Amino acid sequence: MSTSLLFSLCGIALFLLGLYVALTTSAMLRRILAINIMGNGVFMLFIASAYQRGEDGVLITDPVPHALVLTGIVVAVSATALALTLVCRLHELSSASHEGPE
Amino acid sequence: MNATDANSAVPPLGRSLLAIALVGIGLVLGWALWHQANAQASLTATVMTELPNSGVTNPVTAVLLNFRAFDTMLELAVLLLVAVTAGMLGERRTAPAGERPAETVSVSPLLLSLTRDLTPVMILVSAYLLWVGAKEPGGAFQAGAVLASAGVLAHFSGRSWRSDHRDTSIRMLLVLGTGAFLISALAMLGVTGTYFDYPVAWAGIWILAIETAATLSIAVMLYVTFCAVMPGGDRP
Amino acid sequence: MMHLFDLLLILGLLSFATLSLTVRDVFTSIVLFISTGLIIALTWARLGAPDIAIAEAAIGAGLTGALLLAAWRRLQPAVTDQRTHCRNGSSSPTGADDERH
Repeated sequence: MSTSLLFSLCGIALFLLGLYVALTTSAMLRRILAINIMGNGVFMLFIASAYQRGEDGVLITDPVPHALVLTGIVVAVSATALALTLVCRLHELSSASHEGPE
Repeated sequence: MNATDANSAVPPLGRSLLAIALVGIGLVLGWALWHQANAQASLTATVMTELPNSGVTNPVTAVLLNFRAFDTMLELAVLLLVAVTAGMLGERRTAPAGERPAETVSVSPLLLSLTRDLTPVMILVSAYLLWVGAKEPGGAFQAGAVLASAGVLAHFSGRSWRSDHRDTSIRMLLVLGTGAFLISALAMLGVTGTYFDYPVAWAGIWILAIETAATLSIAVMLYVTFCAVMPGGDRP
Repeated sequence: MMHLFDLLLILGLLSFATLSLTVRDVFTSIVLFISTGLIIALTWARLGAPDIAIAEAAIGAGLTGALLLAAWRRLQPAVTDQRTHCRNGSSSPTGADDERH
């Protein structure tokens, strides 16, 4: 089994694991973690597909998926941050309305 | 009771059905991968032949800042949107609260001295990553992230950087990255007739200039977003 | 030899990710998630992507971790979230995200 295939399968496993937890959990913070794990699985599929050995065994990596994943990581962290802001805001609003207006 | 209770957990039967469905999807995906493992579609050759015209020798930087610069510009626009949105949400939260307890928190002297000693090193590492990105692994994103981490460290030790997104200088820094990309796109339209088509002779220095702007912008955007999530207000 | 390293990496990655998503205490979950990020950075280095390994170490493990911990503290039910630097996951924080099932 080639390295590329091995890590591709790992990426799929991560993606499915994240998807399962994201769909079944009711805790917001955990759901955000699960979606991040899903994203990491997709990134791993990308990077594994970029990993190839040439005829003479020299490592040839495709820089285009690397650039896409680099972009993806930064977008993922900002999406996570936005989701966290929204969750915190929601939490504060609902607890405020529960205790009555401040 | 609170927001997280709104959607109840899936019942056990639903869970097991979901698990079976996901395993099925996994098997199909694995099978598909297995059968196309030998199909080698790759853009490596294209990138490598064009690399001498890009102005840098690190292929990833060449793709990010030259070949697919449009993607990177839009990504900075996404970051900008997130920073502005998160900043607004954080602002609403802190506006009514009159007291500002952040000042009274006692910070461990260890953390203080760590911040004092580490901040210059982090700024140096950031500058190094930015500079080395043309040849070796590194570049604007890594440099921006390290710089933002320095800000986060300062925030934890109670010495926050200025992070109010209504501040003019912060606003300038927020749009600096996207703006640099836009200006370069339009300038290159005038010079060579194509967006982001840098003349080979000064592509290297041009890319470094855009990357510097992008680094500052990324760092400030990430830091402003972080401050919106951080408890205790987004301003010292 | 390389295959052994690969298998260890994948095994560690999958078990850390699973633990991080199944463990009950949210604080532990976040810490395990940060560790997963570090292993992923190692994996990028293994797969010949040092650019992404640097970015992942700085962003995936560093900034995301700080963000998650900050949000975790804000979601604590206690009103004295500024003064107490408590981290006893078992004693106080029961609301917000712990109560599932």
